[in-house]
Amino acid sequence: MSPKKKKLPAWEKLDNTALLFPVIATEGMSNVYRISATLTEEVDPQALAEAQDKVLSHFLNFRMRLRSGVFWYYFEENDMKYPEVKEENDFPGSYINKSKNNQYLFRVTYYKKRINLEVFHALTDGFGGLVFFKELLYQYLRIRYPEILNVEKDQISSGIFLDKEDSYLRNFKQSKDHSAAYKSKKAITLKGEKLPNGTMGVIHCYLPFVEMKAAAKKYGVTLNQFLVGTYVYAIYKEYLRGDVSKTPINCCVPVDLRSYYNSHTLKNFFVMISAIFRPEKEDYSYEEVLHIIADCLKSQINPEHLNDILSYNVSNEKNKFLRPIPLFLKNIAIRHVYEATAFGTTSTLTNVGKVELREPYEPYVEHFYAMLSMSKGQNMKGAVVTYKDTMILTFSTILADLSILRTFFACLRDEGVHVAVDTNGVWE
Amino acid sequence: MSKKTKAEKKSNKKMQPEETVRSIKKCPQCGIILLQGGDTCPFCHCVPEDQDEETVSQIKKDFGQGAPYPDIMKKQRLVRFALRLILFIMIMITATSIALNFVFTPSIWWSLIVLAGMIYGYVMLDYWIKHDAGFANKIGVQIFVSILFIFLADYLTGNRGWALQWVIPSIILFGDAVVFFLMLLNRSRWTSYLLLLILMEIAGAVILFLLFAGYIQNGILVIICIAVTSVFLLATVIFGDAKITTELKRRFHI
Repeated sequence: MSPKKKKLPAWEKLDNTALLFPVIATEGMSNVYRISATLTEEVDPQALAEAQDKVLSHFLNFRMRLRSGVFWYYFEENDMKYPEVKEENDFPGSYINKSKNNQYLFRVTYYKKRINLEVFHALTDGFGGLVFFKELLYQYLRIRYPEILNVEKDQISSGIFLDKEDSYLRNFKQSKDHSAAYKSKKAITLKGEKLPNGTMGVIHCYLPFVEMKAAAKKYGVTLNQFLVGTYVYAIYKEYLRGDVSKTPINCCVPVDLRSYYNSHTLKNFFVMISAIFRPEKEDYSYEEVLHIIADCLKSQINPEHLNDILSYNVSNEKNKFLRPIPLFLKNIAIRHVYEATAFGTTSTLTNVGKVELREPYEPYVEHFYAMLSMSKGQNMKGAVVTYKDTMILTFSTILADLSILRTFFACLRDEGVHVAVDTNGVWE
Repeated sequence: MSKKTKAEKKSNKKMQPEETVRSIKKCPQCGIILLQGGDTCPFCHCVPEDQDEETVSQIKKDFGQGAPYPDIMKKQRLVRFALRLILFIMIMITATSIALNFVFTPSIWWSLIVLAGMIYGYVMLDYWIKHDAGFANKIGVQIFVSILFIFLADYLTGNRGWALQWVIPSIILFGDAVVFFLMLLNRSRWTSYLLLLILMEIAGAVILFLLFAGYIQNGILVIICIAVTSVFLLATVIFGDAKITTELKRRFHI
């Protein structure tokens, strides 16, 4: 028999959001996010490596490497050995070097009872990362605790989508109004003494879900609006000292578009909306700020506005005059535009949502965490994930001064929320 | 499949005993529970208070025990020290060269070449360590910077033409050899080096143009350089067949 002819590696174009990340990613601005979970027992590295290999074979979009073309970056199937599962030895969300890690754009690490998945954002967003991470956890637990196999099959979950469509392009509709899409006016930048160069501080806040829900309900806002509003209020009180300011506080909030466009893609599919607060008088009350932010978010989360943002983003990619410009020139232009608009955002707060595990696996997993890396002009970011009865809000920051968070927690405490905190020890 | 040897070794090691969990404390000022304890509250710097056993067990029940992190600062300090040590040695060598030059041969400033070489070496070291790009990309940049460096060295030392005539064609030929060996070593991805080869062909063509334009006196090495690169590129395209077509299609997609 003749040897089987080797198939050419698959390739695909980057989705609309992903086009930005390879251009702007640096050591200090990695565009890597982390999803992690703590288990009830210490992690077994061998079982984790085995789980990663098994799960990865099903997820082609995680088996990609990034390549530069003459006009665009693109993904190509990576034929190298699967990445090594290592003990955590760097700051969360640290840069993923595209020519190391066997050229994979994600890494799986562990430390004591915690398993971490870190993903370069060009690959997928939090939704896609979570789908992969849950399968990794399921597989790990099946290997580590074979008794689960009495009630579960040793295969990836039925019902999950491995769809790789570019939902931005698929749902692109020419919009009449591009002006409403993004406003790039300068916003407040959180400045102050910074941690030593290259250091990333992490603060996990453990918040009882029921208490948080009750606090949000008291003000007639959603949980997300409550979190963003409280965060903006803390910035207003600590950074602006309750003063009038012409420059607004702009907290970006990513919105998952899948439910609006009936998409199941594992690629990026989100847009950013802005929670903007411009203090035009002195001493706004907590309640006033909450309602301003809630109204601001509400006014933007509607299909028309989201479509305006989507079509604005995609229109540049589809522009027939821009497409044939060589990549190195596009990179210069994209970097320039990004840097010019980066200071239009004060911070970002994302809510990954409520994570649910299937019943046989749930007792083995204690907590879920999500965290974001830093961006230009944004020295503090937050990510929320809820699992079982606890909402964990993780702030990542390069600031040495945490007075904004002190005020943030004081607001929560005043609303009857019990707060427990855990850090990565860089402030000690 | 992933390397299992290291993971196996780690797994076979007896599971490490649970590290002493730092006691759970509460900040009397902020009212926040600090799951990892600590000497001061990270938010207000107030000394936190210990909690009684009953409260601690309730907190553990409600929130767990937190998620400890490894000490990364130590690793960072080591890397920074290594880079600073290299920089220090380079500065010392350059300073010594300048001093020796000044004392023994003040008429010829050969130490400037040492200085330029050290700057070039450090910039390239930094680029190879820190810059995120594949081998082909790094080699391409290295060849381009070397050509520029040699050209400038020739220009600043009397513009005798040795750079264009001998050294730059030699660098391109060396680049051909490197690409050839990389293609052999990395056979499953040999097409990755195609763009680099095309760029070297373009560089060779520019030198050939300069030869015909009369800027180069002796063109033997230039002719050899362009001939070798062209034959190499032609062979790659002809024998590469579908792989090359696919590579070109992907690389040039608009």
